[in-house]
Amino acid sequence: MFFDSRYFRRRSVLTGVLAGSVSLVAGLLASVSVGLAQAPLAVDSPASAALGAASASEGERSDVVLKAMGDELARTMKSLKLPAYPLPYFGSFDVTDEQSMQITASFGALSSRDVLRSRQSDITLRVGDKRLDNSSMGAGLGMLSQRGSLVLEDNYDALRRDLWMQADRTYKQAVESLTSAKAQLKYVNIEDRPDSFSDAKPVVSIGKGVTMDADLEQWSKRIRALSSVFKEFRTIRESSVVLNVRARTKRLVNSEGTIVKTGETGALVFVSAAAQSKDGMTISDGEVFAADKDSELPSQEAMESSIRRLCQRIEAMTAAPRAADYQGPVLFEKQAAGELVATLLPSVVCARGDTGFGSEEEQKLGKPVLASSISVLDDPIVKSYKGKTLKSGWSIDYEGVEARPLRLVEKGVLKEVCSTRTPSQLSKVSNGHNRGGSASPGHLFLSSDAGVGLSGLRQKLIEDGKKEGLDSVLIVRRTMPSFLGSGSSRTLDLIRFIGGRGSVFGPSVVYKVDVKTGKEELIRGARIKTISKKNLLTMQAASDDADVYAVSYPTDRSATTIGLVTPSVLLSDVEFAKPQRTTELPPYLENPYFEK
Amino acid sequence: MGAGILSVALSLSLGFVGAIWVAPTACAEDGAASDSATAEPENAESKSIVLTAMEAELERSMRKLKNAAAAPLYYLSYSVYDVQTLDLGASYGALGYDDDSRSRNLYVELRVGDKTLDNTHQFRSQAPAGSPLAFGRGYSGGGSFPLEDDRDAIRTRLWDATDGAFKQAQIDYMRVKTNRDVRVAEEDASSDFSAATAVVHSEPASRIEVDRKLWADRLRKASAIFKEFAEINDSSVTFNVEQVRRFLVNSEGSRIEDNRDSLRITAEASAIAKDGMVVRLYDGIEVPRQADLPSQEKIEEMVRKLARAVVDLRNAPPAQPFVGPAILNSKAAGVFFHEVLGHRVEGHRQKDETEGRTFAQKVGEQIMPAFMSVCDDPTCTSFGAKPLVGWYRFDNEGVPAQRVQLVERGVLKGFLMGRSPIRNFESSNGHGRGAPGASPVARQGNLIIDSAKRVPYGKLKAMLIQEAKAQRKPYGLIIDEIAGGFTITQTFQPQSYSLLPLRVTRVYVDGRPDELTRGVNIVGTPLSSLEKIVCAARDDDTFNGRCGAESGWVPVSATAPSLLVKNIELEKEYKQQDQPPILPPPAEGK
Repeated sequence: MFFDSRYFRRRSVLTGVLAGSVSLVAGLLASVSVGLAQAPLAVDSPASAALGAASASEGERSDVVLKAMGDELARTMKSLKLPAYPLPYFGSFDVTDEQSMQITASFGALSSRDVLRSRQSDITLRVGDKRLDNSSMGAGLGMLSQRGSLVLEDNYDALRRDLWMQADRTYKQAVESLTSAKAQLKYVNIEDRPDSFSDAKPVVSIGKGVTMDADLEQWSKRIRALSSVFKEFRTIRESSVVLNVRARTKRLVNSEGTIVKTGETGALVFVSAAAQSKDGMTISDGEVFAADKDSELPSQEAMESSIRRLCQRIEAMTAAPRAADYQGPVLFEKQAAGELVATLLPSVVCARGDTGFGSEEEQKLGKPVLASSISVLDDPIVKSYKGKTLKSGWSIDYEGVEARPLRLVEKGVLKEVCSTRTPSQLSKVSNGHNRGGSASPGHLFLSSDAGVGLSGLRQKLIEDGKKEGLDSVLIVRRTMPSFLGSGSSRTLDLIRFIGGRGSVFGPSVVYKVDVKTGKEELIRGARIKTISKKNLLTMQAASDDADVYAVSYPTDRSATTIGLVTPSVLLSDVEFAKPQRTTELPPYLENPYFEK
Repeated sequence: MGAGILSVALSLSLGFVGAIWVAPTACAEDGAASDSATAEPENAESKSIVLTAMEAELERSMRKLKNAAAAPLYYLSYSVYDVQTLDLGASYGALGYDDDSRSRNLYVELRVGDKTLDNTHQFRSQAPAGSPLAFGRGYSGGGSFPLEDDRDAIRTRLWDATDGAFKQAQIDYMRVKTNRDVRVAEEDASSDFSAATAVVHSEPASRIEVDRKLWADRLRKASAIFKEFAEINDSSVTFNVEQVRRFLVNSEGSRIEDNRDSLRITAEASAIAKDGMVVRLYDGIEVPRQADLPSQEKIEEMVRKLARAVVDLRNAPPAQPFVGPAILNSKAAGVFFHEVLGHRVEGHRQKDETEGRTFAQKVGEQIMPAFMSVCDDPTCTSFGAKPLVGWYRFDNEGVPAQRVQLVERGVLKGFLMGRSPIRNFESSNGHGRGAPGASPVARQGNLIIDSAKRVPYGKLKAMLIQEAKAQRKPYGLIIDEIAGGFTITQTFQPQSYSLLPLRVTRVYVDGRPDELTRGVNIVGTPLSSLEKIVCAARDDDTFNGRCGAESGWVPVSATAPSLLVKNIELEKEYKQQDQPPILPPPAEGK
């Protein structure tokens, strides 16, 4: 996300926030306490929704889409009502232009190549009041806002027509939902029911749209060449390389005067490969390269050698002995720690919207959620960590609220949570963390003040194993990147991970460490059986190997990419299962390419 | 795994649901002068890479897998469909989408055992045996076939798909054999696969180059016409070009490379009546060559006609449930036959024990009045001036298309046949069809309904009034726009059909003016409906559309004269409970 300085009138304020948060991150990781720089909210003008007012800047006036959105929203707020029902008390129109390019190749040839453009609207209308509106009691779940597609061209009349019809449908749905919520509340008594919606200060920030300018021909060549690397490896049975480049221009106008236009870009290369061991077990692993722009992806040479290492890893795994059932301490190193933290932590530190029946169980602010040596903060705004670029975050979230850096967990105790404008038991107001319809971390920073390095953790792993009477303990060095999984599991209490293909969190490279000799041996097919939030209470983290990882994070609407910083972590009492018994026979014939 | 013939889990055979494209009487007048249909000759070498790679892997697989496992491999075929599409759509003067896509779909058919009993044999059980496995491995494939003419990548994909299909076929064959031993004898003990002659056919690659900018402009202009109609709240005009190049090789020596192109312009509009019913109409033009595309004037004329029809329909009163005489105008009559007869004479349904097999035992019997005859002829490219979109030279199993006389003078003569034999009908008549990449089954192509008893349309209408009087009905009906319909052919559901007419007109016996109504379905059971045809008019017309069934969507047509039917049953359509929009459309340009 970036803002064009010509239009972004509050740039200096934001820069201040930015500086504050950077020092916060650096400070916390060095165990130095720094005061949290709270963004002073000084919003310029509008209390009126209508654009084209005297205060409208050049940017607003020249953007036909914003104008159509503002005008139709103003009309909606002023007159969209059915006789026996109220006008909406809040409305927001969100329009996302997306341009994307996707190229897939396998074994040296492209198998798909698409360039797509779309323009989606997301319209929210709230009827009732902030205490109780159409989003309450689950009535609005998934129906609070209505999405639709709009004409691609910047044609004012056609855009307004589309918005008009969509607002009409949204309003009718909203009055039905409100009635249903009120009816339910007559018969159900809910203790401490949070309000439906919270106040937020309007923000006007008109940045520049973005366009997808990746070179299709150039990338076709590169992706084809990357997929050819697999031709060097006879053992690899299936492989694919996928490039996805996208540019999104988001526009948001709400009835409180918020007008936001931002651009966000992203580029991902997914590589996946599978082989079969002699007994038929499928061994799969993958590699993901993520950047904000296609030009920032690693060089061709770097990606090629990464793919060669991936193939070598898979080859080594096909020859490794089978894993056995296991229960005990497990060390997750580097990339595996990144994926683990990304899977487990967000559900602990993000507010969940109220479904009307009390959802956040025992979780309370001020109570321990992690081991006492561990602290976590979140900062969507910061751009890098120790010179390494973080996957871009945001300064203004999807509800048009300014993002604020958060100290989520201090010494294991939950202090605050990432929140949206939907109040919950843990959060009354938004701190600017709405992403794709739900609360999402921006950039998570996990750190430990235990003063133990990675080698110390390895030592600890072995000691713990000995104490538990185990002959060997496990180290997970890599997992299947979450980008390659289904990415939709958000079960909070007990997350069961099933290893193998398409899993959300499947360890790929796992070593068995002999507790007596310290000898490491690669094993294959180990699957995590259960990990629950309670494992986090015993989590220990290294103090010396924190690194930056880009991971996939599922929001209510779609998966997004977040950046996080974590060191390697040690968990106790993790259950692993041996590989599934059913496997497919190896192929009857050899790949014709290698038969020659 | 074998083909999806193995088990057809779909219970419905949906016909004509979705868009419809009507061929206008004069679609080729001045065409699109600035577009040019270019058949660019590709260089001969690159053209044959796909086919030669397919042949090489087929040969290797047949040679090495033949006796590699318990059940012998006796038949293997590969079909690759290179599908290229362009989609443009506009509404209210602005482009809504502008997409290109290209994909290659693979279909592998692999059979083990022998023709009398193989892995594709219907598995009988309480529950259906699982969904048909259309692609090699059943769960992957699809879009992942190489788009490029790269021999190594193509052979690697074929190798992988063949391996998966071969393993699945071994498992299926064992299950089928056991299943046959533990269940009662089947009513139809025909073989699983019929012999067919090898076909070698090659067409040069064709390439349609479309002037996108020009078409975007045309759509913008045509779609802006709807602005003149305030009652219409949703509308669009679209242009779609689809080019399919098919490559087929099989172990019997067939080798086919051919093309199928289609260009379509459609318009769609909907309005909400005061009682909340959504009325929606489509119109369209489909042509096989760019030169046949209509002029802008013709397109705009179609849009305007459609818009007026939607407004008329919106303001019309809702229809009431009714049993009585009706005229099915020619296109509606075509759809009626497609649903009522066409789907029930698809060969494979005659031996599927879950199917109703309405006509399986009726060959040689009178099933409709003696003046009626019906055939299906995919070899016809047009009927009079109208293109027939169900045209093809070879079906999806590589068998040459043939004209099939289904009904002659009211007597059932035969079935539409793919390569799955049924009692007394051993071989394919070139009707094994499916969407690109799907497992083919017997389907319709160009259904042509003929009547030896015909009168001018005006006379037919007089006969309708007479019939209504005789039945003591206040009015008879004319049904002249049908959005589509569906038919249920399986035994575990009522074996009925339903047609979705858009425009139903009451013709009063007392001389009151005709009255347009909206919102009914025609329902009925097939055998009794066919017997009730009274007479036909001299106004044959063609409905071009898409038909969906277990083997996917395929282009089909139905040509018929208007038909007077003694008795038809109408029931009320499910009504969407929407109110019209609360606010008027936004004011233009403010």
